[in-house]
Amino acid sequence: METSGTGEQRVIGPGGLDRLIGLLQEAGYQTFGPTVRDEVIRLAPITGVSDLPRGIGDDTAPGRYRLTSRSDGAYFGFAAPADSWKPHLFPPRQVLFSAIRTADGIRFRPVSPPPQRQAFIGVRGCDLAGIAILDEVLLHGDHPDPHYAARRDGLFLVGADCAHPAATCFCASMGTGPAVGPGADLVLTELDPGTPRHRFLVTAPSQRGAEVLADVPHSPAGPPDLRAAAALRESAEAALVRQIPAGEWIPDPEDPRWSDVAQRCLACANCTMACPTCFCVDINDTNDPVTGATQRSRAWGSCFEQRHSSLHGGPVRSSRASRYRQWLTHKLLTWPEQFGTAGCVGCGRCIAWCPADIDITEEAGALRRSS
Amino acid sequence: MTTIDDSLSAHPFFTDLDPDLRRRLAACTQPVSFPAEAAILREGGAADRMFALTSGRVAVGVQTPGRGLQVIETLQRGDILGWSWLFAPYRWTFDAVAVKPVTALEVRIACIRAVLDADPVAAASLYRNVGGVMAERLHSARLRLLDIFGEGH
Amino acid sequence: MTVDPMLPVPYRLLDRMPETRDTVTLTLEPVDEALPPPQPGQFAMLWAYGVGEVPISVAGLPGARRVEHTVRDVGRVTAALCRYTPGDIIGVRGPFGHPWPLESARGHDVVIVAGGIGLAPVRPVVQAILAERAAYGEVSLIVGARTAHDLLYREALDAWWREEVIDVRTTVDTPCSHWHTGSVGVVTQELHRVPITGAATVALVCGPEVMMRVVGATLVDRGVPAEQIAVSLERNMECGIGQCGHCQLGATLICRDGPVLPWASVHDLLGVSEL
Repeated sequence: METSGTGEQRVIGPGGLDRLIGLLQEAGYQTFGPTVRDEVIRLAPITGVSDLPRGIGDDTAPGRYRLTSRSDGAYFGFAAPADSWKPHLFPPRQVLFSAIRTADGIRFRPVSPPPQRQAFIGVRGCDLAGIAILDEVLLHGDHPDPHYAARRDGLFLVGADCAHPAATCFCASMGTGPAVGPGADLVLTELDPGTPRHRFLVTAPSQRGAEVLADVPHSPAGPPDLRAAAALRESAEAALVRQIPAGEWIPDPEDPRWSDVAQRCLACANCTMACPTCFCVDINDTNDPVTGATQRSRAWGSCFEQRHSSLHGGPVRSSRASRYRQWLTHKLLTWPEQFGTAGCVGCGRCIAWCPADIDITEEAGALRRSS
Repeated sequence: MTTIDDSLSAHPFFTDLDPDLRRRLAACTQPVSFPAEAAILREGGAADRMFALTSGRVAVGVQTPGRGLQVIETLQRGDILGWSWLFAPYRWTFDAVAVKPVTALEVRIACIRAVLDADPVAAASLYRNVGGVMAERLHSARLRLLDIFGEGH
Repeated sequence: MTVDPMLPVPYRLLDRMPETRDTVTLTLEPVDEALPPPQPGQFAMLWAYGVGEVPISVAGLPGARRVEHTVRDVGRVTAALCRYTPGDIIGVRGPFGHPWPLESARGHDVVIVAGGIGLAPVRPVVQAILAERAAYGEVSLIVGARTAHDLLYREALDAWWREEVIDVRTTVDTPCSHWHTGSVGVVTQELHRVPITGAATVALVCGPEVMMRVVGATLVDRGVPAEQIAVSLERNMECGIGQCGHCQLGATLICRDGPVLPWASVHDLLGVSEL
């Protein structure tokens, strides 16, 4: 991703944002953004601003997610979509290759990459950081994953600063928000929704972003725009109620808290599915009984499943306590050793979507105190 | 010329014993040897000796009809053979046979019992060393009970 | 063209040598493209068409682009691999993982303790040592198995034992009605009979985790520095390239940071139950 953007800041109106989405489509990008669907905000193909969740907010708590109605008609008046961008880069099911036996051996047919480049509209800081973390795991090791690379290649990222964090958010703790960090092509800050001056401050951190922005009707940003954006960043940060304290700590593997949370945890794997960075997969071979062809695929797995750690016919992590311990320890503590980045971005989805109301920040806090 | 005491002190079982106790044990000890396939102990026999092996190889086992001697342990130089002399009914629980020609220091229990009965402190140190041998054999037996090389592993 | 690390490379089965009732050694050679030759301690992902993949350590490097893998029939994929006959095609990916520290063992005494199928990953080490014997000090190989019939590479073991170039000791768990060139007992009992020079010793240990825990602790008690003891660990592996998440032991990804790891790094982890 190029980072040689103009650094200059512009102001565009909602019409300008609509034009921006249209320009990206004309340039051959498949454009995705937040929409209201099935009583949640979730990511889907969009063609313009009318697809965005205008005037919709979200209200979350442990084990709770509700949409709310906003009076200001803000396009981005929510925290983060219920789902992360992960499925668009790393699908829940992915065929790795197919093969068929021939007279003189085996013929392999690799999977062809998707035909179109993607553009993500309205990426929150937490989710942008999530994409960078998946880049590290799947692209920057010794064995880059070509399927992720194909979807990641040429990805156009339009970030959106978060003005209304939810109660389950803790992005500031993880250094990922509420404002969007580095890595986007364009960054939007929505200003003064519900007024005639409803507009977006836009920055173009990348050359590519600057080029697209040049064709969108805009005016230069002035000090009031910058002040308003800064004030929003401050109020957003102040609105965060959850945190994970900084600094290293080593949990006691025999801490009774693990058993305590295990009694509540259902090992349902909602958290790992909702998480923007969880990448564990199960590999499977399936066969066509008619042609004799075989196919190797991967599908999202979860460390909460007993089969995840199966060895010599039995799981290493049999108890739920050991599996919850694996998930939390990996997400917060051992991931940085493995990949050089944090594992968690503080999006809080695991908290909202846990049917047992388990809160990673609360569990981490309790474990840290007794460590 | 190596004395019995020198030989005992070179054997790991006796190395850390009080030198005075070791001298008195030496007076109850004689060097012995067994050719290959000789029976050293028989199950049910009177447990009246302890052997400190100095060379060769001993198979400890159980005679089973139709299967001959089932070997449950192999002992070599540096090992101790026989501790049933410590406990009633003072009878051997296994057979022991020389696999390869064996040399050992044979400690006569009747002789040392007098020594140990007279000196509880000395007795305690000897029994502790026997306990160590038994602990190691028990640990080994328990590991083998786990059948770690078996089908489930 | 991006290299696809999940695409197997076809290898042909040249030879199938039964070792025990449930174990065979497969000799493979590339059909066309050859992968880089593995180093002792590394593993490959072997793919049985239509069944699946398993990680199998390299068990021998006979040269001429060939590679040997010893496979024990313990599940669907290994059962399929064990049934393959010469001419069959097996998919191979790799080599993966960290090898045995042969380089740092040079000039040292070497103690190798292997149990069960764990003898397979150390066989290429023994072969490498024998090929350059003068580069190493005293070398002992202690092999444990369930019964004498479960010992792998019996002919080779007998030959090594007879040649006395290295000190070979075999021991079996199960009572048996004949004694062979070995003992009845556990590997730690044989370990007590081997003179160990402490800091001048490098130890390589491979076998069931229970065995490695006991042997590792015994070696430390005998004065071998924990950094000079290497163990080969095993966890559920599905990709071999550090991307499926299954093989984690604490912060360690066994496929990427192991399977060979220093005792100093892992003995604490092995002591945590259900890690």
